[in-house]
Amino acid sequence: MTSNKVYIKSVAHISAQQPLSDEWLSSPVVLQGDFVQACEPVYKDYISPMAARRMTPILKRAIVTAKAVLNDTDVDAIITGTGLGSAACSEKLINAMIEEGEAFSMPTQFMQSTHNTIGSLVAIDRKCHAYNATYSQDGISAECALLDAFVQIRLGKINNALVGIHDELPKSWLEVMKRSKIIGNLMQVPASETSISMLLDNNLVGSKCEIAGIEVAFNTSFDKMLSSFMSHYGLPQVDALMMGKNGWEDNDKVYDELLDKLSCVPALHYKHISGESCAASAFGVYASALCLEHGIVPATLQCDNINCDVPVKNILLANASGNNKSLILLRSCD
Amino acid sequence: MSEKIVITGSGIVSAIGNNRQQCLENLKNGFSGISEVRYLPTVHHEFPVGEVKLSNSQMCDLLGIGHSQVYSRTTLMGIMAVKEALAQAGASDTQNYMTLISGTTVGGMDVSEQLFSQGMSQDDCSNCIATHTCGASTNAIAAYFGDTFNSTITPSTACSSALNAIILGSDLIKAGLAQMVVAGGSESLTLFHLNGFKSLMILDTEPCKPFDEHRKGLNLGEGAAFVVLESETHAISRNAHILANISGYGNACDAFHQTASSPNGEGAFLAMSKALSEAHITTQDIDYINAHGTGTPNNDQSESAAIHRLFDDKVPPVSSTKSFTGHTTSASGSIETVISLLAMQEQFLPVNLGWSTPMKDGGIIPITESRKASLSNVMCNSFGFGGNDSSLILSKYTK
Repeated sequence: MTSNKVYIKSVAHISAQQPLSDEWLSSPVVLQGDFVQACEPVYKDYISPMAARRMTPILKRAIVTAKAVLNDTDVDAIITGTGLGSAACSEKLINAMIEEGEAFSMPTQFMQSTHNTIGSLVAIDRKCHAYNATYSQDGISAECALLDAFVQIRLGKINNALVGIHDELPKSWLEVMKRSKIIGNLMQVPASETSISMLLDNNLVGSKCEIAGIEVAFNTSFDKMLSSFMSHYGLPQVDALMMGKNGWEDNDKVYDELLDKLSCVPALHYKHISGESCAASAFGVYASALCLEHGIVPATLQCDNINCDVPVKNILLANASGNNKSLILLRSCD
Repeated sequence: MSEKIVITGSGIVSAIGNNRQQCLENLKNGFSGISEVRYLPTVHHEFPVGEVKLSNSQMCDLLGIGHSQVYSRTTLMGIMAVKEALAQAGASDTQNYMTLISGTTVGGMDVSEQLFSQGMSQDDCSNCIATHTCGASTNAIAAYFGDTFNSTITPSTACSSALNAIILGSDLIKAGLAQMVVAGGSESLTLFHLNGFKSLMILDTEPCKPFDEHRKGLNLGEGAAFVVLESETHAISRNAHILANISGYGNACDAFHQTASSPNGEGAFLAMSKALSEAHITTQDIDYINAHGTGTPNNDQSESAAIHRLFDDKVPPVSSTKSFTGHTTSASGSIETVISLLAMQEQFLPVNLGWSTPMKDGGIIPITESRKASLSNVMCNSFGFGGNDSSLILSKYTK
């Protein structure tokens, strides 16, 4: 079957780095402490204060990053990835239930508590009746959302898609992660919040890079995933390996088999820049897309000494989140 | 033209039964599973619910699961339904190449609300991380089956999640990125969403009356259902018995309001239209519609408007089986797909319980008397918060 190709046309982020900017490439904000909140833009430049008042931070971030990548573009699909969804709203409901028992009534918080509140609000904001889906698969939620868009563009069902990946970290969940020692002890990068919107398109013109393949897995080694990847997309040329390492030994050791296999190519990382969150892997996609667009890999992304001077045209992204793993191959458009 | 996507197995757990056979008998006999709350530790006994008639520990015993590990009710019900679906498909011993796509929204919230209320010790925190998220609840279902599944994906679009799981599964197979997919959804009742729906004032204190003039709201339910999907070629190559094929599906966004549906049912209309066009059939070919039909004033008005817009004055038999199961939220799309599949296999029309008075503004008149019927194409609607509207068409399989 001949398939359409899938390109990343534009990306915008609100994260631990300077919002809606690629400034981090040359001068990244150094993240310190256990938890770094997202660095917010001046919202009134993008949304009316009236509308903004009714939105939680994650909703504002989704609306603003969507506006930044789309401008006036109409899309055939709005697809969202989020690990925790509208966690701040859910937290308010749970706290009310603990304090007041089942007497509380919080309709607005409940209405905004479902994971697909984010994608729905973007659709309402843009008056977009197109396909709308949300995926929540912990740290590979981004990959699941990208996979849906990728599949539909390849099948020719849609021409383009807005893919938004958004996660916030409310107090109670931060506390749970701290008490379990994952944050503040095991993980060596800070926890953070990430919102990234991307426009995927079947048209090469003006694109940053091509998405050449996506593979998601459960209870499967990277080795086995590579064979499966090859059976779906052919033998990949890989010039650099972008890993989702976060400094937690149990999490990071699973990348060893990939490092062994790809020992000749530079190894890259990004979670020291984005921080770790369920949406962090989307930052890896964004960072890799920039590398391919500009044809350079900034030193801040490199975690070994292998020469990056040879043109990097194919980046294999690997990410692990508990029992889930993902591989994405991004290819330069040149 | 791309290959047919076929169903070779199905499994269901709901208020009207712990398996296909029980659900089928109760559907045929008109026995609703909606009753006073018994398993959810809520004070709100004024709202009837469609609970699965098993405690968590009874489910663990049925599944041979020890009591040391913490499982959410969503996961336990999911395991039961997946197990039944795999068995029917003759795929219980499949290793390493199936994808599990399970829609949910509350995920392991039943465990979390209990752990948060008891103060969250360090152990509680680990248990919470292992069960709380939507993804974790799907992974726990997959983990029960050892090496059967090599990938897991969790759609979370509120009440349309499970139907969207079937849609994604079909697309993955069409794109050649999955060979066999077990798709559906699971959702347990929780204090979180019972009280949430109560806040929205759309729960009925009596058994729900979908499409009735005097309908007052929905009854929440719970359950899980899954179908085994594969390409026709794949099913034939392994000599599987094909139950039906999925001939079309569509999803659209109402883009009107976070929780209310538009008066003209735009999203629902678009979803049903897309499903018909993908199936290459017309409205006249649809023999039965299993409606979303929650029993809220807003949904049933909006869905009626959408069906009338599309089908004009030639509306096929319609019923909402939520009058049997309650609104099983994120699981409803797959629960009603399996109910539609059973109706097609047994060639009967499931009735709409609780209906007596037609809506004044010309709403749908649902079927209230069960009867035999020749069903070749069945449409199943599933709508969610955020105006997330999906529609699926099941067709009688012919080679």
